[in-house]
Amino acid sequence: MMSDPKPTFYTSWFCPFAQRVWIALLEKGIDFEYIDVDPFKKTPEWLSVSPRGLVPVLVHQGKSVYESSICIEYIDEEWPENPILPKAPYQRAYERIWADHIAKKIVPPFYAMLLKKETELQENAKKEMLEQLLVLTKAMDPTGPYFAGSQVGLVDIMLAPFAIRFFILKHYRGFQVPSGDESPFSRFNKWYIAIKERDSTVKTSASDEEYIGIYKRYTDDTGQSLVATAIRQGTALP
Amino acid sequence: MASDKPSLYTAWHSPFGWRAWISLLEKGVEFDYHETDPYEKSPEWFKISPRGLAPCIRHKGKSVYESTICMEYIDEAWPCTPRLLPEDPYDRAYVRMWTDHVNKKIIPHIFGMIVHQTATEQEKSKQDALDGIAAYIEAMRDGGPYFLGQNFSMADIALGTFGSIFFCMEHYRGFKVPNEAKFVKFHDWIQTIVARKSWQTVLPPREQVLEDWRPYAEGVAQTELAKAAKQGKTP
Repeated sequence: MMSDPKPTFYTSWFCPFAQRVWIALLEKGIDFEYIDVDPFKKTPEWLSVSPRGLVPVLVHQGKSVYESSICIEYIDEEWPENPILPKAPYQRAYERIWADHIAKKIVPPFYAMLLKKETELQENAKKEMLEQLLVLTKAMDPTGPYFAGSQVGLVDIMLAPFAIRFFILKHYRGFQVPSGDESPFSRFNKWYIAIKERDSTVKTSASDEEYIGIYKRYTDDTGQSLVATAIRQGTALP
Repeated sequence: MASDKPSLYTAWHSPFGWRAWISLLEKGVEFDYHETDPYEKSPEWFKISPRGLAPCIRHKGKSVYESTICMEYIDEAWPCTPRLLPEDPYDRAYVRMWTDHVNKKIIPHIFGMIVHQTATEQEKSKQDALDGIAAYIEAMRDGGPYFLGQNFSMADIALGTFGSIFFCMEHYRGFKVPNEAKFVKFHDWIQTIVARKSWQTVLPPREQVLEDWRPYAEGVAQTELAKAAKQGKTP
Protein backbone atom coordinates (compact mmCIF):
# COMPACT_ATOMS: atom_id res chain seq x y z
CA MET A 1 0.00 0.00 0.00
CA MET A 2 1.36 3.39 -0.97
CA SER A 3 1.86 5.54 2.09
CA ASP A 4 0.26 8.96 1.93
CA PRO A 5 2.49 11.97 2.38
CA LYS A 6 2.41 13.67 5.77
CA PRO A 7 -0.10 16.48 6.20
CA THR A 8 1.28 19.94 6.89
CA PHE A 9 -0.30 21.86 9.73
CA TYR A 10 -0.07 25.67 9.46
CA THR A 11 -0.61 27.34 12.80
CA SER A 12 0.23 30.19 15.12
CA TRP A 13 1.36 29.15 18.58
CA PHE A 14 -1.04 31.48 20.40
CA CYS A 15 -4.16 30.79 18.33
CA PRO A 16 -6.91 28.84 20.15
CA PHE A 17 -8.65 27.91 16.89
CA ALA A 18 -5.45 26.37 15.55
CA GLN A 19 -4.81 24.64 18.88
CA ARG A 20 -8.03 22.69 18.33
CA VAL A 21 -6.61 21.10 15.17
CA TRP A 22 -3.23 20.50 16.82
CA ILE A 23 -5.00 18.64 19.64
CA ALA A 24 -6.95 16.54 17.11
CA LEU A 25 -3.74 15.59 15.26
CA LEU A 26 -2.10 14.49 18.51
CA GLU A 27 -5.18 12.59 19.71
CA LYS A 28 -5.11 10.65 16.44
CA GLY A 29 -1.38 9.97 16.61
CA ILE A 30 -0.92 11.37 13.09
CA ASP A 31 2.57 12.16 11.83
CA PHE A 32 2.53 15.74 10.50
CA GLU A 33 4.72 18.69 9.67
CA TYR A 34 4.26 21.74 11.92
CA ILE A 35 4.71 25.21 10.40
CA ASP A 36 4.25 28.33 12.52
CA VAL A 37 3.10 31.32 10.46
CA ASP A 38 2.35 34.95 11.10
CA PRO A 39 -1.26 35.18 9.88
CA PHE A 40 -1.07 38.97 9.92
CA LYS A 41 1.40 38.89 7.02
CA LYS A 42 -0.92 38.29 4.07
CA THR A 43 1.73 37.31 1.52
CA PRO A 44 0.68 35.82 -1.85
CA GLU A 45 2.36 32.54 -0.83
CA TRP A 46 0.36 32.41 2.38
CA LEU A 47 -2.92 33.29 0.62
CA SER A 48 -2.36 30.49 -1.89
CA VAL A 49 -2.19 28.05 1.04
CA SER A 50 -4.92 29.77 3.06
CA PRO A 51 -7.47 31.62 0.90
CA ARG A 52 -8.90 33.43 3.93
CA GLY A 53 -5.41 34.19 5.25
CA LEU A 54 -6.29 32.57 8.56
CA VAL A 55 -4.88 29.75 10.64
CA PRO A 56 -5.42 26.85 11.10
CA VAL A 57 -4.91 25.27 7.68
CA LEU A 58 -4.18 21.63 7.01
CA VAL A 59 -2.57 20.83 3.66
CA HIS A 60 -2.71 17.19 2.65
CA GLN A 61 -1.89 15.72 -0.76
CA GLY A 62 -1.62 19.23 -2.13
CA LYS A 63 -5.05 20.38 -0.96
CA SER A 64 -5.97 22.88 1.76
CA VAL A 65 -8.58 22.36 4.45
CA TYR A 66 -9.47 25.31 6.71
CA GLU A 67 -11.92 26.18 9.52
CA SER A 68 -11.08 24.35 12.72
CA SER A 69 -14.21 22.16 12.92
CA ILE A 70 -13.91 21.22 9.23
CA CYS A 71 -10.23 20.32 9.75
CA ILE A 72 -11.17 18.11 12.70
CA GLU A 73 -13.89 16.30 10.74
CA TYR A 74 -11.45 15.86 7.83
CA ILE A 75 -8.83 14.40 10.16
CA ASP A 76 -11.44 12.09 11.67
CA GLU A 77 -12.58 10.82 8.26
CA GLU A 78 -9.18 10.55 6.59
CA TRP A 79 -7.63 8.69 9.55
CA PRO A 80 -10.52 6.64 11.01
CA GLU A 81 -8.66 5.02 13.97
CA ASN A 82 -9.34 6.49 17.44
CA PRO A 83 -12.54 8.23 16.30
CA ILE A 84 -13.23 11.79 17.42
CA LEU A 85 -16.89 11.73 16.35
CA PRO A 86 -19.24 8.85 17.22
CA LYS A 87 -20.82 6.68 14.54
CA ALA A 88 -24.54 7.17 15.16
CA PRO A 89 -26.11 10.05 13.18
CA TYR A 90 -27.88 11.60 16.16
CA GLN A 91 -24.77 11.47 18.37
CA ARG A 92 -22.81 13.14 15.56
CA ALA A 93 -25.47 15.84 15.20
CA TYR A 94 -25.41 16.36 18.99
CA GLU A 95 -21.64 16.95 18.96
CA ARG A 96 -21.99 19.38 16.05
CA ILE A 97 -24.86 21.24 17.76
CA TRP A 98 -22.76 21.81 20.88
CA ALA A 99 -19.65 22.68 18.86
CA ASP A 100 -21.83 25.29 17.14
CA HIS A 101 -22.99 26.54 20.56
CA ILE A 102 -19.34 27.06 21.54
CA ALA A 103 -18.69 29.00 18.32
CA LYS A 104 -21.73 31.25 18.60
CA LYS A 105 -22.28 31.64 22.35
CA ILE A 106 -18.99 31.08 24.20
CA VAL A 107 -16.23 32.32 21.90
CA PRO A 108 -17.79 35.79 21.31
CA PRO A 109 -18.11 36.70 25.02
CA PHE A 110 -14.54 35.42 25.56
CA TYR A 111 -13.23 38.07 23.18
CA ALA A 112 -15.78 40.72 24.13
CA MET A 113 -14.65 40.49 27.75
CA LEU A 114 -11.08 41.31 26.71
CA LEU A 115 -11.73 43.79 23.91
CA LYS A 116 -14.56 45.95 25.24
CA LYS A 117 -13.30 49.00 27.11
CA GLU A 118 -16.49 49.86 29.00
CA THR A 119 -16.81 48.02 32.32
CA GLU A 120 -20.53 47.51 31.76
CA LEU A 121 -19.89 45.69 28.49
CA GLN A 122 -17.18 43.58 30.13
CA GLU A 123 -19.63 42.65 32.89
CA ASN A 124 -22.28 41.76 30.29
CA ALA A 125 -19.75 39.49 28.58
CA LYS A 126 -18.95 37.77 31.89
CA LYS A 127 -22.63 37.20 32.57
CA GLU A 128 -23.21 35.89 29.05
CA MET A 129 -20.19 33.58 29.30
CA LEU A 130 -21.41 32.03 32.54
CA GLU A 131 -24.96 31.63 31.24
CA GLN A 132 -23.78 29.89 28.08
CA LEU A 133 -21.26 27.73 29.93
CA LEU A 134 -24.09 26.59 32.18
CA VAL A 135 -26.22 25.66 29.15
CA LEU A 136 -23.28 23.66 27.78
CA THR A 137 -22.64 22.04 31.17
CA LYS A 138 -26.24 20.80 31.33
CA ALA A 139 -25.77 19.12 27.93
CA MET A 140 -22.77 17.13 29.16
CA ASP A 141 -22.92 13.42 29.88
CA PRO A 142 -23.53 13.28 33.65
CA THR A 143 -20.59 10.96 34.39
CA GLY A 144 -18.02 12.18 31.90
CA PRO A 145 -15.44 13.33 32.58
CA TYR A 146 -15.49 14.44 28.95
CA PHE A 147 -18.46 16.04 27.23
CA ALA A 148 -19.91 12.81 25.79
CA GLY A 149 -18.53 10.39 28.38
CA SER A 150 -15.27 8.54 28.85
CA GLN A 151 -13.84 9.36 25.41
CA VAL A 152 -12.58 12.70 24.17
CA GLY A 153 -14.62 14.03 21.25
CA LEU A 154 -15.31 17.03 19.03
CA VAL A 155 -16.90 19.22 21.69
CA ASP A 156 -14.01 18.69 24.13
CA ILE A 157 -11.48 19.65 21.44
CA MET A 158 -13.50 22.71 20.35
CA LEU A 159 -13.77 24.02 23.93
CA ALA A 160 -10.40 23.05 25.44
CA PRO A 161 -8.22 25.87 24.01
CA PHE A 162 -10.66 28.50 25.28
CA ALA A 163 -11.11 26.89 28.69
CA ILE A 164 -7.35 26.77 29.28
CA ARG A 165 -7.25 30.50 28.49
CA PHE A 166 -9.87 31.36 31.15
CA PHE A 167 -7.06 32.28 33.55
CA ILE A 168 -6.32 35.18 31.15
CA LEU A 169 -9.89 36.37 31.66
CA LYS A 170 -9.29 36.20 35.40
CA HIS A 171 -6.00 38.07 35.11
CA TYR A 172 -7.33 40.94 33.03
CA ARG A 173 -11.03 40.99 33.95
CA GLY A 174 -11.46 39.10 37.21
CA PHE A 175 -13.65 36.47 35.52
CA GLN A 176 -13.98 33.10 37.21
CA VAL A 177 -16.14 30.04 36.81
CA PRO A 178 -17.62 29.36 40.29
CA SER A 179 -16.02 26.40 42.06
CA GLY A 180 -17.20 24.01 44.77
CA ASP A 181 -19.10 20.72 44.75
CA GLU A 182 -22.43 22.50 45.26
CA SER A 183 -21.85 24.89 42.35
CA PRO A 184 -23.99 24.36 39.22
CA PHE A 185 -20.62 24.37 37.44
CA SER A 186 -19.23 21.38 39.34
CA ARG A 187 -19.69 19.16 36.26
CA PHE A 188 -17.91 21.77 34.13
CA ASN A 189 -15.05 21.93 36.61
CA LYS A 190 -14.76 18.13 36.54
CA TRP A 191 -14.52 18.36 32.73
CA TYR A 192 -11.93 21.11 32.96
CA ILE A 193 -9.64 19.16 35.32
CA ALA A 194 -9.74 16.15 33.00
CA ILE A 195 -9.10 18.09 29.79
CA LYS A 196 -6.38 20.31 31.27
CA GLU A 197 -4.17 17.39 32.27
CA ARG A 198 -4.67 15.48 29.02
CA ASP A 199 -1.42 14.99 27.10
CA SER A 200 -2.74 16.63 23.92
CA THR A 201 -3.74 19.76 25.87
CA VAL A 202 -0.44 19.98 27.74
CA LYS A 203 1.67 19.52 24.58
CA THR A 204 -0.21 22.18 22.60
CA SER A 205 -0.33 24.88 25.28
CA ALA A 206 2.15 27.68 25.80
CA SER A 207 3.19 28.95 29.24
CA ASP A 208 0.92 31.16 31.33
CA GLU A 209 3.37 34.06 30.96
CA GLU A 210 3.40 33.75 27.17
CA TYR A 211 -0.41 33.80 27.04
CA ILE A 212 -0.72 36.74 29.44
CA GLY A 213 1.74 38.65 27.26
CA ILE A 214 0.10 37.93 23.91
CA TYR A 215 -3.41 38.79 25.07
CA LYS A 216 -2.39 42.17 26.44
CA ARG A 217 -2.93 43.75 23.01
CA TYR A 218 -6.62 42.79 23.16
CA THR A 219 -7.09 44.57 26.45
CA ASP A 220 -5.29 47.72 25.41
CA ASP A 221 -7.20 47.80 22.14
CA THR A 222 -4.25 47.33 19.81
CA GLY A 223 -5.35 43.88 18.61
CA GLN A 224 -5.40 43.78 14.79
CA SER A 225 -6.84 40.35 14.17
CA LEU A 226 -10.06 39.83 12.24
CA VAL A 227 -11.53 38.52 15.49
CA ALA A 228 -10.64 41.74 17.33
CA THR A 229 -12.03 43.87 14.49
CA ALA A 230 -15.27 41.91 14.40
CA ILE A 231 -15.81 42.24 18.14
CA ARG A 232 -15.15 46.00 18.03
CA GLN A 233 -17.60 46.41 15.16
CA GLY A 234 -20.15 44.09 16.74
CA THR A 235 -20.21 41.82 13.69
CA ALA A 236 -19.95 38.05 13.37
CA LEU A 237 -16.56 36.40 13.93
CA PRO A 238 -14.72 35.25 10.78
CA MET B 1 -42.80 5.34 21.76
CA ALA B 2 -40.51 7.63 19.83
CA SER B 3 -41.40 7.57 16.14
CA ASP B 4 -39.09 6.60 13.30
CA LYS B 5 -40.95 9.04 11.07
CA PRO B 6 -39.29 12.44 11.38
CA SER B 7 -41.15 15.69 11.97
CA LEU B 8 -39.95 18.91 10.39
CA TYR B 9 -40.70 22.09 12.32
CA THR B 10 -40.16 25.05 10.04
CA ALA B 11 -41.56 28.33 8.74
CA TRP B 12 -42.91 28.38 5.15
CA HIS B 13 -41.02 31.55 4.28
CA SER B 14 -37.59 30.65 5.66
CA PRO B 15 -34.78 29.83 3.21
CA PHE B 16 -32.93 28.25 6.16
CA GLY B 17 -35.99 26.05 6.69
CA TRP B 18 -36.06 25.15 2.99
CA ARG B 19 -32.59 23.66 3.38
CA ALA B 20 -33.91 20.98 5.73
CA TRP B 21 -37.18 20.61 3.83
CA ILE B 22 -35.45 20.20 0.45
CA SER B 23 -33.01 17.68 1.96
CA LEU B 24 -35.87 15.49 3.18
CA LEU B 25 -37.69 15.77 -0.16
CA GLU B 26 -34.54 14.93 -2.13
CA LYS B 27 -34.08 11.80 -0.03
CA GLY B 28 -37.68 10.71 -0.48
CA VAL B 29 -38.12 10.48 3.30
CA GLU B 30 -41.66 10.41 4.63
CA PHE B 31 -42.07 13.13 7.23
CA ASP B 32 -44.66 15.23 9.05
CA TYR B 33 -44.52 18.95 8.30
CA HIS B 34 -45.29 21.35 11.15
CA GLU B 35 -45.71 25.00 10.26
CA THR B 36 -43.86 26.92 12.97
CA ASP B 37 -43.37 30.48 14.07
CA PRO B 38 -39.98 30.39 15.80
CA TYR B 39 -40.53 33.88 17.19
CA GLU B 40 -43.49 32.69 19.29
CA LYS B 41 -41.18 31.35 22.01
CA SER B 42 -43.80 29.22 23.75
CA PRO B 43 -42.69 26.64 26.36
CA GLU B 44 -43.95 23.92 23.99
CA TRP B 45 -41.65 25.24 21.26
CA PHE B 46 -38.58 25.15 23.53
CA LYS B 47 -39.41 21.54 24.41
CA ILE B 48 -39.19 20.72 20.71
CA SER B 49 -36.23 22.97 19.88
CA PRO B 50 -34.15 23.74 23.01
CA ARG B 51 -32.51 26.84 21.54
CA GLY B 52 -35.79 27.91 19.94
CA LEU B 53 -34.34 27.61 16.45
CA ALA B 54 -36.09 26.61 13.25
CA PRO B 55 -35.75 24.50 11.21
CA CYS B 56 -35.79 21.69 13.75
CA ILE B 57 -36.12 17.99 13.04
CA ARG B 58 -37.65 15.71 15.65
CA HIS B 59 -36.67 12.10 15.04
CA LYS B 60 -36.82 9.13 17.41
CA GLY B 61 -37.49 11.46 20.34
CA LYS B 62 -34.48 13.71 19.64
CA SER B 63 -34.14 17.21 18.23
CA VAL B 64 -31.69 18.33 15.57
CA TYR B 65 -31.43 22.04 14.75
CA GLU B 66 -29.24 24.51 12.81
CA SER B 67 -29.95 24.21 9.11
CA THR B 68 -26.46 23.02 8.14
CA ILE B 69 -26.42 20.44 10.93
CA CYS B 70 -29.89 19.30 9.78
CA MET B 71 -28.59 18.73 6.25
CA GLU B 72 -25.69 16.58 7.48
CA TYR B 73 -27.99 14.70 9.85
CA ILE B 74 -30.45 13.95 7.05
CA ASP B 75 -27.63 12.67 4.85
CA GLU B 76 -26.32 10.41 7.61
CA ALA B 77 -29.66 9.15 8.97
CA TRP B 78 -30.88 8.35 5.44
CA PRO B 79 -27.73 7.46 3.51
CA CYS B 80 -29.61 6.71 0.28
CA THR B 81 -29.02 8.67 -2.92
CA PRO B 82 -28.72 11.48 -3.55
CA ARG B 83 -25.83 11.73 -1.10
CA LEU B 84 -25.71 15.32 0.17
CA LEU B 85 -22.02 14.89 0.93
CA PRO B 86 -19.68 12.75 -1.20
CA GLU B 87 -17.64 9.76 0.01
CA ASP B 88 -14.09 11.09 -0.22
CA PRO B 89 -12.91 12.90 2.94
CA TYR B 90 -11.36 15.80 1.03
CA ASP B 91 -14.47 16.24 -1.13
CA ARG B 92 -16.57 16.23 2.06
CA ALA B 93 -14.31 18.92 3.53
CA TYR B 94 -14.66 20.86 0.26
CA VAL B 95 -18.47 20.79 0.46
CA ARG B 96 -18.31 21.83 4.13
CA MET B 97 -15.85 24.68 3.48
CA TRP B 98 -17.98 26.12 0.70
CA THR B 99 -21.20 25.66 2.70
CA ASP B 100 -19.44 27.57 5.47
CA HIS B 101 -18.47 30.20 2.89
CA VAL B 102 -22.12 30.57 1.85
CA ASN B 103 -23.12 30.94 5.52
CA LYS B 104 -20.41 33.46 6.42
CA LYS B 105 -19.59 35.34 3.21
CA ILE B 106 -22.84 35.48 1.25
CA ILE B 107 -25.98 35.06 3.40
CA PRO B 108 -25.16 37.84 5.93
CA HIS B 109 -24.84 40.28 3.01
CA ILE B 110 -28.12 39.11 1.45
CA PHE B 111 -29.80 39.98 4.75
CA GLY B 112 -27.63 43.07 5.13
CA MET B 113 -28.66 44.65 1.85
CA ILE B 114 -32.32 44.28 2.85
CA VAL B 115 -32.21 45.38 6.50
CA HIS B 116 -29.76 48.26 6.11
CA GLN B 117 -31.65 51.44 5.52
CA THR B 118 -28.97 53.71 4.02
CA ALA B 119 -27.89 53.53 0.38
CA THR B 120 -24.20 53.38 1.35
CA GLU B 121 -24.68 50.34 3.58
CA GLN B 122 -26.92 48.68 1.03
CA GLU B 123 -24.38 49.17 -1.78
CA LYS B 124 -21.62 47.73 0.39
CA SER B 125 -23.73 44.66 1.21
CA LYS B 126 -24.55 44.18 -2.47
CA GLN B 127 -20.88 44.30 -3.42
CA ASP B 128 -19.88 41.98 -0.58
CA ALA B 129 -22.58 39.51 -1.64
CA LEU B 130 -21.34 39.57 -5.24
CA ASP B 131 -17.75 39.01 -4.07
CA GLY B 132 -18.92 36.00 -2.05
CA ILE B 133 -20.88 34.64 -5.01
CA ALA B 134 -17.92 35.15 -7.36
CA ALA B 135 -15.70 33.11 -5.03
CA TYR B 136 -18.31 30.33 -4.83
CA ILE B 137 -18.53 30.18 -8.65
CA GLU B 138 -14.73 30.13 -8.89
CA ALA B 139 -14.73 27.12 -6.53
CA MET B 140 -17.28 25.20 -8.60
CA ARG B 141 -15.84 22.11 -10.21
CA ASP B 142 -15.90 21.57 -13.96
CA GLY B 143 -18.34 19.26 -15.67
CA GLY B 144 -21.43 20.96 -14.21
CA PRO B 145 -24.27 21.64 -13.61
CA TYR B 146 -23.81 21.39 -9.83
CA PHE B 147 -21.24 22.83 -7.43
CA LEU B 148 -19.28 19.56 -7.40
CA GLY B 149 -19.76 19.08 -11.14
CA GLN B 150 -21.87 16.05 -11.93
CA ASN B 151 -23.05 15.49 -8.37
CA PHE B 152 -25.66 17.42 -6.42
CA SER B 153 -24.64 18.23 -2.82
CA MET B 154 -25.28 20.22 0.33
CA ALA B 155 -23.28 23.10 -1.19
CA ASP B 156 -26.00 23.49 -3.87
CA ILE B 157 -28.75 23.51 -1.24
CA ALA B 158 -26.86 25.97 0.99
CA LEU B 159 -26.79 28.73 -1.66
CA GLY B 160 -29.59 27.53 -3.92
CA THR B 161 -32.30 28.20 -1.32
CA PHE B 162 -31.35 31.89 -0.99
CA GLY B 163 -30.41 32.11 -4.68
CA SER B 164 -33.95 31.13 -5.67
CA ILE B 165 -35.32 34.34 -4.12
CA PHE B 166 -32.80 36.83 -5.46
CA PHE B 167 -35.74 38.39 -7.35
CA CYS B 168 -36.74 39.74 -3.93
CA MET B 169 -33.37 41.47 -3.43
CA GLU B 170 -33.67 42.87 -6.95
CA HIS B 171 -37.15 44.17 -6.21
CA TYR B 172 -36.20 46.01 -3.03
CA ARG B 173 -32.55 46.88 -3.63
CA GLY B 174 -31.85 46.52 -7.34
CA PHE B 175 -29.51 43.62 -6.60
CA LYS B 176 -28.62 41.58 -9.66
CA VAL B 177 -26.02 38.96 -10.32
CA PRO B 178 -24.51 40.35 -13.56
CA ASN B 179 -24.58 38.49 -16.87
CA GLU B 180 -20.90 39.10 -17.51
CA ALA B 181 -18.44 36.24 -17.99
CA LYS B 182 -17.46 35.86 -14.34
CA PHE B 183 -21.08 35.20 -13.32
CA VAL B 184 -22.48 33.25 -16.30
CA LYS B 185 -22.03 29.95 -14.47
CA PHE B 186 -24.24 31.26 -11.63
CA HIS B 187 -27.22 31.74 -13.93
CA ASP B 188 -26.86 28.28 -15.50
CA TRP B 189 -26.49 26.77 -12.08
CA ILE B 190 -29.48 28.47 -10.39
CA GLN B 191 -31.76 27.64 -13.33
CA THR B 192 -30.89 23.96 -12.97
CA ILE B 193 -31.31 24.08 -9.20
CA VAL B 194 -34.76 25.74 -9.07
CA ALA B 195 -36.06 23.33 -11.72
CA ARG B 196 -35.58 20.45 -9.29
CA LYS B 197 -38.86 19.02 -7.98
CA SER B 198 -37.87 19.75 -4.37
CA TRP B 199 -37.38 23.46 -5.08
CA GLN B 200 -40.67 23.62 -6.94
CA THR B 201 -42.37 22.08 -3.91
CA VAL B 202 -40.99 24.48 -1.29
CA LEU B 203 -40.86 27.80 -3.14
CA PRO B 204 -43.82 30.01 -2.20
CA PRO B 205 -45.50 32.21 -4.81
CA ARG B 206 -43.42 35.25 -5.75
CA GLU B 207 -45.90 37.73 -4.25
CA GLN B 208 -45.85 35.99 -0.89
CA VAL B 209 -42.05 36.07 -0.76
CA LEU B 210 -42.02 39.79 -1.57
CA GLU B 211 -44.65 40.49 1.11
CA ASP B 212 -42.72 38.43 3.67
CA TRP B 213 -39.53 40.48 3.16
CA ARG B 214 -41.29 43.87 3.05
CA PRO B 215 -41.04 44.70 6.80
CA TYR B 216 -37.29 43.97 6.70
CA ALA B 217 -36.80 46.11 3.61
CA GLU B 218 -38.80 48.97 5.08
CA GLY B 219 -36.96 48.82 8.40
CA VAL B 220 -39.93 47.94 10.58
CA ALA B 221 -39.24 44.28 11.34
CA GLN B 222 -38.62 43.72 15.04
CA THR B 223 -37.58 40.12 14.92
CA GLU B 224 -34.30 38.79 16.30
CA LEU B 225 -33.42 38.02 12.71
CA ALA B 226 -33.66 41.70 11.83
CA LYS B 227 -31.56 42.73 14.83
CA ALA B 228 -28.93 40.09 14.14
CA ALA B 229 -28.87 40.92 10.43
CA LYS B 230 -28.19 44.59 11.20
CA GLN B 231 -25.09 43.43 13.08
CA GLY B 232 -23.94 41.22 10.24
CA LYS B 233 -24.82 38.09 12.17
CA THR B 234 -27.31 35.53 11.00
CA PRO B 235 -28.50 32.46 12.89
